[in-house]
Amino acid sequence: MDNELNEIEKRLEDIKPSKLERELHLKIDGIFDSPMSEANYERRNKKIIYTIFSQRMAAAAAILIAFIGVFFTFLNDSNKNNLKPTSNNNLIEPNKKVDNRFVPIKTKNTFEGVSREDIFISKDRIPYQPIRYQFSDSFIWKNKSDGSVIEINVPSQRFFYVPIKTD
Amino acid sequence: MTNDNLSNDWKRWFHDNGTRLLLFARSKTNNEQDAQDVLQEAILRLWRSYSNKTNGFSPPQLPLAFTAIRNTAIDLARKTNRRQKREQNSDQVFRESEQVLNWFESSSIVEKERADEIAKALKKIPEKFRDVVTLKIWGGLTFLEISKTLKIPANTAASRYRYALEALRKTLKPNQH
Repeated sequence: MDNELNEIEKRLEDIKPSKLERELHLKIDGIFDSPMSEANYERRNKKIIYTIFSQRMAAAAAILIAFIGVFFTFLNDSNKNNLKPTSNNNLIEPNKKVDNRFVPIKTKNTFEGVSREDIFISKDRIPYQPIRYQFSDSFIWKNKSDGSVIEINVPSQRFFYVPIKTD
Repeated sequence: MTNDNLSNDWKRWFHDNGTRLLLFARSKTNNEQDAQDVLQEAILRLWRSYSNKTNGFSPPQLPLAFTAIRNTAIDLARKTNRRQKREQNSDQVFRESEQVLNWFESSSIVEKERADEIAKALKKIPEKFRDVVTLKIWGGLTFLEISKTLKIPANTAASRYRYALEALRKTLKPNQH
C-alpha cells in the first residue's frame, strides 16, 4: 500500500468506537441473566425427550391394542363363516348372528392440568408466555357378545402462545 | 459450569467486544435505534444458540458474532424495507444527519469533528467496502476471518479493503495536525 493509504489507515485506527450507553449495556446484560442456562437447558431437553418418549409409547400401545382387537374380530368372523351346516339338527340358528366385534362405546377428553413454560422472545421482539394444557383422551371398546372391554388412555397436550403486553 | 459463571463469562465477553459489535451494527443499519435493536437481537440469538452443552457454554468467537449481527441486520432490512421506502421521501435530511451520530469516541470538539467526518465518509462508501473496513480496523479480524464472516474469498476481502481506503482517501480531507 502506498503512503497515502497507510495514512488513511492510521487515521482510522486512531479513532475508537464509542462506548455503549449504560441502558443498552444493562439490557444486554439482562439477556445473560435470562433462564437459558445450563440447568434449565438440560431440564428442558429432558422434558422434551420424556414427553416425546411417553407419547410414542402411548401411540405404540394404542396401535398394538387396536391391532389385536381387529385381529381377533377378523378371526371370529372367519371362524363364523367357516361354520357350515352339516345336518338339519344344527344348533346354530341360521338367521341369528353372533356379534363378536368390539364397538366403541365411550370416548372422553379429560383436562389434566395447565402449566406455564419459560417466556421467550420472538423474532419480532414480542415476548410470549407459552401455556401448556395437558389432556387425557380415553377410548373404550366393548365386545357385546362376551362383555370384554378394551380401554386406552392417550395423553395429549396443547400449547398456546400468549403475547405479553409490555406497555 | 454454574449459571452464574456462565452468565459472567458472557458478560465479560460482551464488555470486551460490545463497542466493536455495536459499531458494526451501526454500519449495517440506517439509524441508532435499529443498530441497537440488531445488536440485542443478535446477542439474544447467540446466547440461545451457544449457552448450551453442545457448544461448550462459552461465548462465541468474534467472527461468529459479527456474522450474527450481519444476518440479523439483513432480516431487519427485509422486514422494514417497505417502511423505509415510505419514510425516505419525508425525512431523508433528518436521517442523514442522525445516521452517524456518535459512532466514535471524542474528547474535544476537534476530535468530534474528525470522528464525524470519518463516520460520514464511511457511510458514503459502498456497504461491501464499509463492512470490510469496519471488521478489519475496529473489529480486529484478519482477512481470512472477514472472508468467513461475509462469505467472500479472502482475496476479495483484501482487495475490497484497499478499494475502501482509496474511496475514503478521496472523501476525507488531509489531516491538519
